[in-house]
Amino acid sequence: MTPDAPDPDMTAAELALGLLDGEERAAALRRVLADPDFAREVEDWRQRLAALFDDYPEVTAPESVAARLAQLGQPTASSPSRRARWPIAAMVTAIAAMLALFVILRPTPQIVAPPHRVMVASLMMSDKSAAVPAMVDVTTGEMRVGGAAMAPAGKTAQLWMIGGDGVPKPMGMLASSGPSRMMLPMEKRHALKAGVMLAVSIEPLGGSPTGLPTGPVVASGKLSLA
Amino acid sequence: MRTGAEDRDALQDVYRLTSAKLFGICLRICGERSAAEDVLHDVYLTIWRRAGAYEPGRASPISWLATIARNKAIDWVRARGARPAHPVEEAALVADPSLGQREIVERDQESQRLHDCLDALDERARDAIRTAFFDGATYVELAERKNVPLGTMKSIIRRGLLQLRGCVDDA
Repeated sequence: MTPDAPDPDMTAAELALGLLDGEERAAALRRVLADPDFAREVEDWRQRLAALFDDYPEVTAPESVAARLAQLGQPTASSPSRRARWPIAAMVTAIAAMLALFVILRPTPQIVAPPHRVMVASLMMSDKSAAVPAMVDVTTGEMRVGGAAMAPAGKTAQLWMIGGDGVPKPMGMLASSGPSRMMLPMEKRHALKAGVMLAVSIEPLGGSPTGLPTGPVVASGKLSLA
Repeated sequence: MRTGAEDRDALQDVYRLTSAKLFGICLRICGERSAAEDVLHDVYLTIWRRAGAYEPGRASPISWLATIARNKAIDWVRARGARPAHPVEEAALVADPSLGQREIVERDQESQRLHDCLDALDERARDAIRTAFFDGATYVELAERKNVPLGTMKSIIRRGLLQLRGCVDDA
């Protein structure tokens, strides 16, 4: 390297790493908002550097913090309404589920049986009010969808998958309250790939009479590998 | 309809699986136990409130949580304006390697690649980049610690980061 050569512009990395402060940091943050390419570069750096989290030593966390957190879900006069709170709780559930899977599925040389292939999707409500987590274990065909009261009384919420051919295929009915669990038959499991769209439509009780969605789509999201 | 108890259980699961890693991060950056405890509590409150911002498929959940913890701890240090003299030693003293959560942190392929590429950098760049990450140190702090001019520190790190990106993306 020549001493006189100008430094390369590494602002995205500098922001992700936390090297900047004061006005330099403020300017970089403004650039994230104004420049999508720069924002993507910052995110790429975050992902590259995330490997370094491995090197932080683990330290047993104090019981007192767990105890304070245990109060969180307690209904109190000041807690937000149930309606406002459930999507957040559902996402925490999804994170908990994925963390548990992450631990189980982490490849280790000792494992003989092939690990389960798991896919996830975040079903965004059409009115953007919340995202409902969905997970499918492609190996066993077990599908789970987070609890969400999507259908009005007298109707049912039906889950569909839309693959490369663009034709919705029924996957099952969602529970009217609480999380849903269903088993997918083999031919549907084979069709599950990253990028396949999951969608929920509102149908008459018992499901769509035509085999295709007949009511409005209230939530949708794409499958990706967990 | 979900119950309050179910919600709490989910957050407690997240806590059980991740708190030792996140507390390790908070303690290393804050450098003192009581502050690290407050920051840790704040981290889980944030997770609770902002769980909707997590996008499955983008980053691993543990990276997302670790990023929140690191940023919160850095915010605390910078808001206080001063840094304890020996954050590293205290964190190392209280580290407990016998925890059952270690499987989370074993290196996968991607992680190994980044570590290999860091090892390939010259020592000054590697050391500065690692310190920036682990302690949440700024250019100004790194220059002071290493007793080199700010411009020199910036050059070392920028060239190191450029080389690191080339190495990671080529592999």
